[in-house]
Amino acid sequence: MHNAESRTPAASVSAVATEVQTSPLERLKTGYLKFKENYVKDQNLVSSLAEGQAPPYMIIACCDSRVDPCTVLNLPPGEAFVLRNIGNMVPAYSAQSACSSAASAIEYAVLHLKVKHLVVMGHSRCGAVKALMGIEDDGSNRFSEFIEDWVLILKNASKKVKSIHKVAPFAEQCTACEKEVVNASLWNCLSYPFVREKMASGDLTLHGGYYDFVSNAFESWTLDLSCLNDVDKVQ
Amino acid sequence: MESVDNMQEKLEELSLEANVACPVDPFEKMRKAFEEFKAYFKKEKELFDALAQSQHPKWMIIACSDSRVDPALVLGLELGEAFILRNIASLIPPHSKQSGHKSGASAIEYAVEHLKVEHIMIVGHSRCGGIKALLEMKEDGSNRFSEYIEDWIQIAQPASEIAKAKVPHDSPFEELWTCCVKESVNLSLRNCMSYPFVKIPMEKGLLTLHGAYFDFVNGAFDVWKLKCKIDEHQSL
Repeated sequence: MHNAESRTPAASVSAVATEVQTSPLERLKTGYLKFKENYVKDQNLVSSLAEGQAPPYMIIACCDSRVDPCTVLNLPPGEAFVLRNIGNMVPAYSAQSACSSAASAIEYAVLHLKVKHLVVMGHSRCGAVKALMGIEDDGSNRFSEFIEDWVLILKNASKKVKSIHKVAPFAEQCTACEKEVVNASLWNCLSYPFVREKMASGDLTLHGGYYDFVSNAFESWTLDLSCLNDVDKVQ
Repeated sequence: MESVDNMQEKLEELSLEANVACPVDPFEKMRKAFEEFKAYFKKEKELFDALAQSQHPKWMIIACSDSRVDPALVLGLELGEAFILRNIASLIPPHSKQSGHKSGASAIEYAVEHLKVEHIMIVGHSRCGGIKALLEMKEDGSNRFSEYIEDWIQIAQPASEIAKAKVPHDSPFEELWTCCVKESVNLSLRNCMSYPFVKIPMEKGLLTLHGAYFDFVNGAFDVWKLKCKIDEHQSL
């Protein structure tokens, strides 16, 4: 299984990186064969996963290469149904959300897989949040075809942070926004009727998470409908 | 769409009904796992100091949200190696300015233009629930079962048509299912190419597109390349 003991140490990673330059697919082949060697040791797991999946968690995380949730939280195959997009953002429920990757994934996880926990996981040094925070109100510094349109789904998070942390340095504002984006995404999850129904029946809990790879810490908090500030830090 | 006032009332009702405290802390397992990860993080200080500054993944991987197919686990990738987009059935819709599908497009644009990835791989997999739902969809929509899932998965409708034409009618469903997953990967690869910021580096040889099929039933991982080449002009 993909656990701390089986990870490649840094020296090997740089050797492997050289290999990527000459043979990118060889790198993947080596990784896959190692996974397979470990995976087939648990035949019960292999057979049960071949038939179906029953993950207790749905995790919404960023595409950032540094924050793979299954790696950081050591989740083996079958544990977490994972949606990843830039900025770990969830748009609000809307009849116009047809063809939404987030809405369809949440619906499938909550109603069909019947996950027990929905986690939105933000992280430090998020490029998508930085882009959101950097957008001028008049759109005069637009730099992309799609990136701004995507991150602006949570423009209220950036507005809120800018008004609360008016004089803070930009980097600190971004950190605040990374956490605000998690809460805003959780709030948007709540806007889906099927999420609210499952929460009301006690079948689903919503959680926020924040992975800080600068200080090597992971904060998590449960969405308490009476108070959204119950934060538990793992130092 | 719910008004803010309605939402507030509903939330108050929920907080009375739900009694949020869980009997067993669901994060206990994750906390322990993160402690292990923290130890690994401390050990690999050089690697993580570099990653804290910036990421330079060579790969972008597009994979299904299915809990059995995490690409970092399956391909033994270290943190920092792959920028990963995940959605139901690893679908990429075609380039369209009017489209509401910005999650895939924005991720690809960021990966190619800003991170300068050299490879994009789209991974399909065995027993994909999204593709199964696609194959079972009736044309008249009479068996519609969801609010959003069918609208999302119908992006792969052309792949369903190709697979149904390719696979003999009397074949077992598993064969049609497998074929449709692979055709859906090919469709998403072609849709990727419809983005100018993908097509241009591909034509210059700076970006390679790969398809893949992870079969966790039989224990196999197949890969293939999408080739795009404009031949030298020839005078008639």
